[in-house]
Formats: sequence, structure tokens, C-alpha cells
Amino acid sequence: MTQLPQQLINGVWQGAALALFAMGYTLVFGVLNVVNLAHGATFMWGAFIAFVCVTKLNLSLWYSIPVAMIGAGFMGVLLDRLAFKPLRSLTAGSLVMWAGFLVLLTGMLGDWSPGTRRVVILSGSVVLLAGLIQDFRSVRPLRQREVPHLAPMISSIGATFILVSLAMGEFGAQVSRFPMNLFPIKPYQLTSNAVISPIQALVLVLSLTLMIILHLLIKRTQMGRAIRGIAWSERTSRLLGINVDFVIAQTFFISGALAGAAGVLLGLAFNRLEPTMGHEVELAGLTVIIVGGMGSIGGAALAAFLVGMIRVLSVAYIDSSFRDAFVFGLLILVLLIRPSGMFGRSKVSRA
Amino acid sequence: MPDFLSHNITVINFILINMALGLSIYLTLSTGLLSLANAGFMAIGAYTTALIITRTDIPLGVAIVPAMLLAALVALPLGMLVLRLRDVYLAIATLGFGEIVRIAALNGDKVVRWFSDNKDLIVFNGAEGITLSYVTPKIVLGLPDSTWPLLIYLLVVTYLAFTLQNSRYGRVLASIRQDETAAHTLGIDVVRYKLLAFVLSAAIAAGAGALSAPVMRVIDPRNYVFSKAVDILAYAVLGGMTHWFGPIVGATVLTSLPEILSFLKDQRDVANGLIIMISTIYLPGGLVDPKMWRSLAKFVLGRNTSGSTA
Amino acid sequence: MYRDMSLIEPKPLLEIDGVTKKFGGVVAFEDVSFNIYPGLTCGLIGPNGAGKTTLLNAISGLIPLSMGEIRLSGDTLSGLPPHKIAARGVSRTFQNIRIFPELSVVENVMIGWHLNNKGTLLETFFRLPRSRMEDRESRKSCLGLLADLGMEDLSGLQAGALSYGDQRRLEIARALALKPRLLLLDEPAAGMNRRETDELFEFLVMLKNTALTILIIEHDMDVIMRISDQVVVLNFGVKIAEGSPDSVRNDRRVIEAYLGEE
Repeated sequence: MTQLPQQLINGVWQGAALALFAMGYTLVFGVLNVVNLAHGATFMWGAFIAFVCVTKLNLSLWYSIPVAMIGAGFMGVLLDRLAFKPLRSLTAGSLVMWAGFLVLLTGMLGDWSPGTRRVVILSGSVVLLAGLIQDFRSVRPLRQREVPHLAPMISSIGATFILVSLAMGEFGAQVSRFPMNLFPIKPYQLTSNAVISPIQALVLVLSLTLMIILHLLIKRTQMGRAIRGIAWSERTSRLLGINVDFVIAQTFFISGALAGAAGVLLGLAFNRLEPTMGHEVELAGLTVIIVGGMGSIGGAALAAFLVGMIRVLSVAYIDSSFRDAFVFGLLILVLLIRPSGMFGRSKVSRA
Repeated sequence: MPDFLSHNITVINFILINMALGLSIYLTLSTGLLSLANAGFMAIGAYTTALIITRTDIPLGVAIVPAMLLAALVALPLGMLVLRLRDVYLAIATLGFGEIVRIAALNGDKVVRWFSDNKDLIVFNGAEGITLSYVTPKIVLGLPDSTWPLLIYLLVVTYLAFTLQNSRYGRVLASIRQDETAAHTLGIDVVRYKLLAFVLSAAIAAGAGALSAPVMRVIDPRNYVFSKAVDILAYAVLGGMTHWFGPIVGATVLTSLPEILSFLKDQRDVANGLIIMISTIYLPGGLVDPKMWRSLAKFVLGRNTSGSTA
Repeated sequence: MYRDMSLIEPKPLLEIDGVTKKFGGVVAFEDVSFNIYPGLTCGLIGPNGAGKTTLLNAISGLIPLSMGEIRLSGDTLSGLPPHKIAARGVSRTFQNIRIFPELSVVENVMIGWHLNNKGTLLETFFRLPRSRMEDRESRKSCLGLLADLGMEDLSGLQAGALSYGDQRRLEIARALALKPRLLLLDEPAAGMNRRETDELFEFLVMLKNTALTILIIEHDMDVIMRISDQVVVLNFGVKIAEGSPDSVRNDRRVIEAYLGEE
């Protein structure tokens, strides 16, 4: 038991990073009632964007983290516009976006010469952006209907596959690592038998800061009020003149940025980046948002620490290969006993 | 054997397996249940059969029975637990089940050894999985002997799906999908019918898994992960979820497409992802959507008649 | 008339006995009691939000009661799931139409007929005579039911493609296929035009003459007053009056709470 304090510390910083991931997850659910299963892919891309900034563009870590967050945030917005928004209301802009997206994919995956590849990717991106702008401006959708049962979830599963394969193509299936000298490694001695490395401390501090910022954003700003309003009733918000589509885009941006931040931080802490890294956190994140009560940001934050702790302790005291079995055990248990979550049924409005 | 067959026999075998898997998820989807457990049940079927045929002389055609029964036995209590969950929650819980099956296959030997005296016992063989010995294919009645069981199984499963859809059971399952509450107040024991669909679906997936064992030859946990569950879902989504013919078409297209468009081979996942997204957004009824084809026919025929009068 | 009948027929079919339903702190209805006698039609009226639909939901088992008991022929319905209550002979329609839009019209009715089928799954799979015969018979009976409602021409159509009034009629046909002892109708005339309402009224009178017991919620006072043997008035979840249509019409409290508004 002498290692218990150390394990608790590990549980706390991992829980904090998991909380970042899960809060964005649950935020989108609260607003749209949609489980965005591509959230883990956004997380992974956040990590890789920072990786590219550091290794290819020679940016310092302090610039790379915000760049990764912004990149992942935009990825979140694109995800909404490609995978979810067309289900709610399909516009001419959505069609153009999709055309651009397909060109972009062909560019990224096809067997082109570097010059052609650049041109195809660029033109795809331009069309995609034009479609996006058109989609934001259009007021008369081609099709507007009740979102079919299960469709958003299935659509986001498709998006996950694309995003993960793109990363495979770009970075390979093997593990990528940040340069070793990026961060001091000498750990701080906390107590006689517990240490925390600088990077772990950074994860903890940054996660807590972002959690506080999110809390203030939701509670204190006009945007936060609009988000809570839509979570409570989209129709009422629309009648009150809130630009629902724009607020949803903002929500996806925040959600994506948080996932991106979590990706960079966990990627740094374990110094292990791989295209499939989203799967694992996806499943842990699902557990967190269900344990915390779907849509409850505060609940997700609390549950993240619980799940983080369970993961760390099951590895330390039982067997690493059973870690996910414990997480799933908790998931199924909570689903069966209290599907509304252990921390109440509160939605974003009561975050 | 004709050239076409001998060149493509593996693909054809996989199409047959995937058709059966598509029909298995069709059963739950047509009841309105998004269950992602079928890859897990497929694993149960494949492992059970592989263990039986590597350790005994029992033939495949018999080994499939315990495999299907075991899956049904697992599905029954699991269904009782999770089927009262709705939509997203059910999907997540069944996803969790799939992961637990994978973890169990990966670590099963640790548990087995714990109960046994032999501390080097190998049953599931962790990540390496179970390898079946190679058997030279024989041609029976113009088809390889590995294809016949698959073909027969598919015919049986298709018959079941067809009969079910056109029976009162199929009507009841469809009514549950369309309005569970209304069905409930009309005297339909919703839980029982959902359980029926879930257990049948599990058994069918396990049967497909069992028959896939000799075709795959290596049964390891990687074959039954989340992405297999999504593959299966994609068959039904692309083909259509309201008619049994949908998943058959979906499985055929998705399994043969990477072979036909060989440049897609490395990008199978992207193609799958795109097909899933595009068909959910733009083809909500799937390729086999009676409503869509009817209106299309009306459109075309309507044009024709007006053309002839003009 | 209602009081006279109750003397002849001492055993009520449906007993609502001191029922209360609270959602959190909000009271949907409180301590409501009344009986419905076999073969009679009871109108349940009251302003919007009076708790009428919630009471119907409680009778059909969709929501549990907070207090009190509901009995059918003396047997309690409390704690029974909706399908068991349906099997005991209670069927209903919904205020917001809930047909199965992707099934055909006759198939919708066949779902209501479903409880009459005994064929097992195995019989179905092997197409044994009983299951095939049952299928033919249920289709025939359901077509007959549709004919009673003048809908035989529509039987092959997709239910979702029907007009609003036809969907309402289909919902009633489906509920009748259950061969209920008690039929619960939640605003069957809502959204219907005058002609459709009149047709519906004629049909309801015909149903009434088959000795079917009916509990009907309706905003069309004309229909309620003409068809009901007994009227129960709810206001803010409390029963404020009960009696024959005439006595309720002249009840001061009812006029204040409800009719006065009109």
C-alpha cells in the first residue's frame, strides 16, 4: 500500500485530462441530444496537430497547444456541418461542402504527385470552405425534418472511421513521439513516496484552468446563456431570436477544442501518439458522461476523476489487461441502476 | 470449377458470412434497437467452434450448434439487463459488451489458469488467438467444401428473415420500432419481443462466426473489435433497415467493393466511413428502400405515360 | 338516466378509487374517484391541463399512480404493465395520433388483433397450418373491422399516407381490434372538420349500441353531451362534478370553471 499516494496522484491528473475530454462530449449531448462518437477522433487529431506544430513547424509547446485546440475546435465545427447538420437541415451549402470534402479526401488519399496532390487538396478545401459559408448563410434548407432515430450516432461512427484512417495515412499506424527534450523530466517530490513529473503537473494545472474557463463561459457569458437556452428548449430559443445554428457551431468548437487539449496533454504525458488513441479515451469518456449524467458538465467533471482513479488503481493493484473491463463494468452497472447518472439528471442548464 | 469462382472464392465466402451478419443486425434494427453487440456474439461463435474442432473430431456442421446456443444463452440475460435502455444508451452498453468479450478472449487464459492446476494451459491463446490447421479445399458439386456450409446457412437465415418479416412477428417488431408506447398499449409485450429479436440476432451472428472460423483460419480478438461491429452496422445502413433484402445488398456491396476497386484496398475504412455517412444523410432508407423505389418507379413510369400521350 | 342504470347494474366495470398522480412536486390529479358501469359511455371533460390525459395514461398503465387504485371488474390494475392491461380488455387511442406510419392500414389493425393469435414462433418459421390460418383469419377480420368504419378501400395504403381524419379513424379501428371491454378515447375529434366529426359521432353511437363501455375525453361539448351517459369534470386535477350530462351542464361550479370560459 506504500504506493497508494502515488497512484492517487496519477488518478487525479489522468482524471483531470479525462474531464476535459468528457466535458466537451457531454456539452454536445446536452445541446443536441447527440452522442458524437467522433469525439475521440477529434481528441487524437488535437494531439497530432500539436505534434506537427512541434516537429515540422518548430513551434514551441506553448504555441502548439492553443493551435491544436483551435484546429480541433474547427474540426468539431466541420464535423457538425458534415455529419450532423445535414440530418437536421440539408442546404445547398451542405452539398457543396460534401463535394469539397470528397475532393479533399481524394487529394489526401489518392496516388498523386506532390504537386497535383497539393492542388487537389487546396481546391477541395476552398470548395469545402465556400460550402461552409454558404451553409451558414442559407436560410432555406432543401430538406428539413425530424432527425431520424439513431442517424446522428451512425453518421458520427462513419466520421470516426474517416478521421482515423486519414491519420493512419498521414502519420502511419505506428506510435509517434514528441522529442524527448521538449519538457523537463525531473519529477517534483511531493511526499516521501509520491512524485509528480512536470508534465503531469502541467496536465493537472491546464486541465483545471480550462475547466474553470468553461464553467465561467457557460455561466457568465451571453454565449453560455444561449447554449443553456438551446439545451433547455431549441424551439423557444429560436423564437427568442437566438441564432441556433451559430450557437451549435460554437458548442462544437468548444467541444472540439477541449477534446484537442485533452489529446495534446495526454499525448504529452504518455508521449505516445497513435491514430487509434481515440478509441480508448472514447470508451472511458462514454463511461464518464453516463456516470456523470448525460448532458451534465459538472457531473462529467466529477465522474472523470472517479473513472481516472478506477483505471489507475485497477492497473496498479489488479492487472493492466483488465483495466477496461473495470471501466465497462462501471458503465454497465450505472446504465442499469441509474441510467440518469450518478450525479443527477441535471442538464447543461444546471451545469 | 470456373475460373471466376476459383479466383474469388475467398471474397465469395466473406460475402456469404457478411450477408448472414447483416441479417443478424437487421433483426435488431428492424425492432428499433441499435445493438452493437453482434461482433461480440460472432466472436463467441468463432471461438467456441474453433475450440471444438481443434480439440475434438466433431465436424463443423455440428459444432455450430453449441456455438449458437452459447451465444443465445449469453444474449438472454444480457438482453434482460440492457434492453430497457433506449437508443444511445443501448448502443453504448452493447459496445461495452463487445469490448468485454474482446478483453475476455485476450485474458481468458489467465482466468482459466487460475482455476486449473496447469499453469501453462493455453486455451484462447491471448492476442495470437487460435489457428486452425490448413485443409486443402475440395470441390464438392462445383463449389469448394468451405463454401457449402456458408451457402446453406445463409439460405436458412434468409428464409428465417423473410418468413419473420412477413409474419405477425415481423409486424409486431416493426410496430415496436415505429412506436413502442402505442405497441405496448395494444397488448404487445414489448420487452419479450425485443428479447426475442436480440437473442435470435445473437444466435445468427454466432452461427456466422462459427462458420467463418475455417475460412479465417486464425481466430484472434482483433477480428471482433469495434470496427467489425461497425462493418456489420454498415451493411444494414447502406442496404436499408426496413427490408430483409437490404443487408444482403449492403453486405455484397461493401465486401466486394474493395475488391472491385482495388485502389480502395488501403482505404477500406475511409470508404466504409464515407458510405455510412453518405447513406445516413442522403439515402436514409438505404439502397433497398421499397418506398424510394416505388416513388422512383412512379416518377419514371409517370414520365413515360405522359411522354407517350404527347 | 345514469343513476337509474347504476341501480340495475350494481357492479362497475372500471373503478377509479382515490387516485393521485404527482410528478415531482406537480400534482396532475388528486384524489379522483368515479366508477364506470358496463355498457355506458363516460365523458371526461375539463379545461386544458386538468389532468385528463394523465388519468388515461394511468388507466392504461403508461404511468404509475402515486396513490389510489384503479380496478377493472374488481381486479386491480395497479402495477400491471400496459400490455397486460390491454390483455384484460382495455384499449385506447391517443390525443396525438400514434399509428404505425410505415405499416399498411390493415397491418395497423392486425397489430391490435395480435392478442388473438396463438401460433408460436416455430410454427411461423415452418409455416405450419395454424399460423397460416390465423394470419388469413386475422387479415379477414381486420378488413371487416375497417369495412365497418368505411375504410375498406384504404386497407392497402401506408398508414402514414392517410389524411388526418382517416388516421384518427384507423386508430379507433386498431383499438377495437383488441376486442376491448373498455375503450379509452383521447380527443377523437380533435382536428376533424364538422363533417368528419359528425361521421365520428354516428360511429360512436353505433359502438355504444354494441354495449361497449367507453371513456371519452373530448373538447367538443356537443359530442360529449350527446353521447355520454355520465360526465366527469376535472379542474386542476380535482373532480369538481359528476353526473348526467344535464346535471353537469347546470352545475354552477362547472359553469364557473369550464363552460363559463367558453
